[in-house]
Amino acid sequence: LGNIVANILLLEDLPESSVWMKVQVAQIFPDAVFLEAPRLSRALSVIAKHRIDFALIDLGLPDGSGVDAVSALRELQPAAQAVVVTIHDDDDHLFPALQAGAFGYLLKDRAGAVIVDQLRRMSQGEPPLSPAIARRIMTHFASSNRRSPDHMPRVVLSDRENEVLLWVGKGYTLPEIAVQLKLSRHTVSDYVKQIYRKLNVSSRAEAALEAQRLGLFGRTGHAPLYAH
Amino acid sequence: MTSVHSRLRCSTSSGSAAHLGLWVCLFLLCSARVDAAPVRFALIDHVTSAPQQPDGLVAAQGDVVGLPDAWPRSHPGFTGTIWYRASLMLASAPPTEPLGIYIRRACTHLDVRLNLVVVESDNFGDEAAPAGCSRPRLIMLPSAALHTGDNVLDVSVTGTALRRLTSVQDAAGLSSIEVGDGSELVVSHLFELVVEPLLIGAERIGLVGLGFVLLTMGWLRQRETQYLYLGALCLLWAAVSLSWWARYLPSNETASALLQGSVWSLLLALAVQFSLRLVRLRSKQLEALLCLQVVLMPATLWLAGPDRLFSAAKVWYVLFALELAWAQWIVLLTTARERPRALKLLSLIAYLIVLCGVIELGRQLQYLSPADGHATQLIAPLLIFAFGVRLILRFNRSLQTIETDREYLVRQLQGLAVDVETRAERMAQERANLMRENERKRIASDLHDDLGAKLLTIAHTSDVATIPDLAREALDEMRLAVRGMTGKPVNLADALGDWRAEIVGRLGQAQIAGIWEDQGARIPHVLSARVFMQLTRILREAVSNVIKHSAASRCKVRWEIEEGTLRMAVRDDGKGIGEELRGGQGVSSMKVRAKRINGQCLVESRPGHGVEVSLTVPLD
Repeated sequence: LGNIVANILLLEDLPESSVWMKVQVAQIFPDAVFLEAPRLSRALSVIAKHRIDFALIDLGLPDGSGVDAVSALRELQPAAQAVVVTIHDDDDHLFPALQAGAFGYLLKDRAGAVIVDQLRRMSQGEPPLSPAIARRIMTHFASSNRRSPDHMPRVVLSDRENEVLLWVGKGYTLPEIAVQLKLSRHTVSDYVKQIYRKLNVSSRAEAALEAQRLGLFGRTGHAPLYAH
Repeated sequence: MTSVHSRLRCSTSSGSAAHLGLWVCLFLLCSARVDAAPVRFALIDHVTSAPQQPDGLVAAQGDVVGLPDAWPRSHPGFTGTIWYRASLMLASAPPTEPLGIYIRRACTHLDVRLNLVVVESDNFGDEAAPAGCSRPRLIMLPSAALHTGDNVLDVSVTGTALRRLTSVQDAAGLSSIEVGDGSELVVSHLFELVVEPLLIGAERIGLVGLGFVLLTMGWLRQRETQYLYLGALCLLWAAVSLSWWARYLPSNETASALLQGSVWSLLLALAVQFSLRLVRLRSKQLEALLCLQVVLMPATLWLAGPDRLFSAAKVWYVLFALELAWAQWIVLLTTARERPRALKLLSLIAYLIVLCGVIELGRQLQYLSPADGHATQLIAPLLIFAFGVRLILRFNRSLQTIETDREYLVRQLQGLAVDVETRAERMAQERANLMRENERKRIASDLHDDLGAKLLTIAHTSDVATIPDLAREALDEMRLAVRGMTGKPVNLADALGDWRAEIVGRLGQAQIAGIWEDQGARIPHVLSARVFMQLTRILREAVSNVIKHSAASRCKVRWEIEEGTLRMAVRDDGKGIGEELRGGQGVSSMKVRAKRINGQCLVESRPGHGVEVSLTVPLD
């Protein structure tokens, strides 16, 4: 993203939080254009009409879940980066958003400096990944590969990606992991991005498979799969 | 001896009820023969014979005829009474041992006179009572009626012409006559006199019993009509054999013949139906034909008139034999196709059945004498018996199969019931869990949305420096409380991962180098939600203290597990705290929390040498 003019979608129902968030974001993207939406419905129409580079999406909205906005963004503007902003830190809340294609998440209540730091890292392509989420992703891949039929192409994590997840699950930060695996920080970040992408693809494939199983599509109607 | 004589008299006059008495007497005679008396024995095979005229007169001089005398040959077409006269010559005085005569067959009515004294008579009053032709007679000759020298034995036989009968068994005639010592005669004809009637009686009783058993079974299993057919066959056969031995048949000979004929056709219909049902064959047309035959046969006999009864019956007998053979052939064919293993036994049985039929036919067509193949009367019921027993065994086997199946099903059902029960229990449990989970989610969501949003607003809008931090701490506390609400145990390894990320991150943000050591991550332990929450709070408090007060550059967090005890140590290289701070609120709250989970928390410090918070908690 850098310092170019960026369209940033801010989906947040609390005005105070919205204002505060804008202040933090402006520190990273001084020339950003904010497209603000206090409701999910509004956000969906913004997504349909405007090019979006970056999106900050609150999950708990009065008229629905931010996950739908993430899905819509993933569907209509795959290049945009969606980041979930929430006060729910538990993986039960975050995981569906990540499956829907969110690139990372921020905890709203963190100090401004922390938020800015995380935003900067994300803008540099280093998404955050908590131990609980990492473990959840490992579980997801293990069970989805067990479940998926043999003839279907599978989305599989590479050994390195698995290794990164394992370390994250143990509570190691990405720079620490880079040292441990004798890799550059950039490479480790790439692995994490790849993991998020595969999670999204695998989840979509699973959803398609489930839909097919329920008879919503014909046999050929499954989503294109991402094969490693 | 006189008493024996009078009993003999009695027995000869009162029919089958007194037979037992007769046999008892004969056995008494046998056993009473203490001193060996000389055996006198003679076979009368030539007699003078003359038919009795309708007016009752008999010619004094008759023709010499040989015995046995079968009327169909010697007097064809004759119905009436023929007298036979033989003379018995006693060389010495009448013996003390009573003499007797044995007549194998006298058909149909017999009258015996010794020296014109009636010693045996089937004719009572005016009405001639029909008698069983096959019944052998032993007639004791009273000593008083005998005298030295010539004695006259008159035997009169009353019979019906064969053409007026339906069965050659009832054809009139007289067998040869044996004269001799009464007890000696009994011994030499023990089989005919005692064993055969006993056998036939036993067979008849057995058939009746079997018949009722089969009928009951047929009634219970109405789809398997072979039981009914065989049961009816048993009872009818027993009834038929009873009629042969009964002293009293319908007095009208034609009616009796018609009855016998129709009984035969009914027997045949039952036998054919049974044979076919045994191999599960069924034909409505055949059933109708057999029924028609049962009606048709007596009808044709009646139409043929009394004088052509036998000729008409013979045609039917041939037809019956053919039908029986055909049915057996069909049975064999079907068995060969469907159950080749049972073929041997069934062929033997079919062969015997056909053999009986052929012998019987041979007798009726007079290729065989009525006495030949007498054994068919014994064998045929035995065959019926064999079938009956086989059917009962099969019935029993199917009952056992049903019982086994039932037991199996009951077991299956019980298993299913248990399964359903456990499933229901599990579902109820899952439902309860789900409800609890939903409730927890609702509360968590409420907490986040209401309390969380308010705390967040405070954190984002307050200008006072410490307020946002306090609000964040409150939010962290709230999240921990929500997490603790699940009551779900936490893997120690997972907890260590979460703690590490949080603590190292926070220390890093405070520009303190965090060093984390946890070999405990390799040990599979599970923390209860309560212990996890308290440990988290203690850890956070200890690290917060380091960040806020220590001015340290390094902080080391070390975890160990030893003998079921979890040990945590948070050590910094800061300025340390004095005595006065050791009882501070943060420190005491850590100690209180440790105590709640049966642990112990120690805070050690020397000024200038940092602080070490150590915690030991037992793991269950």
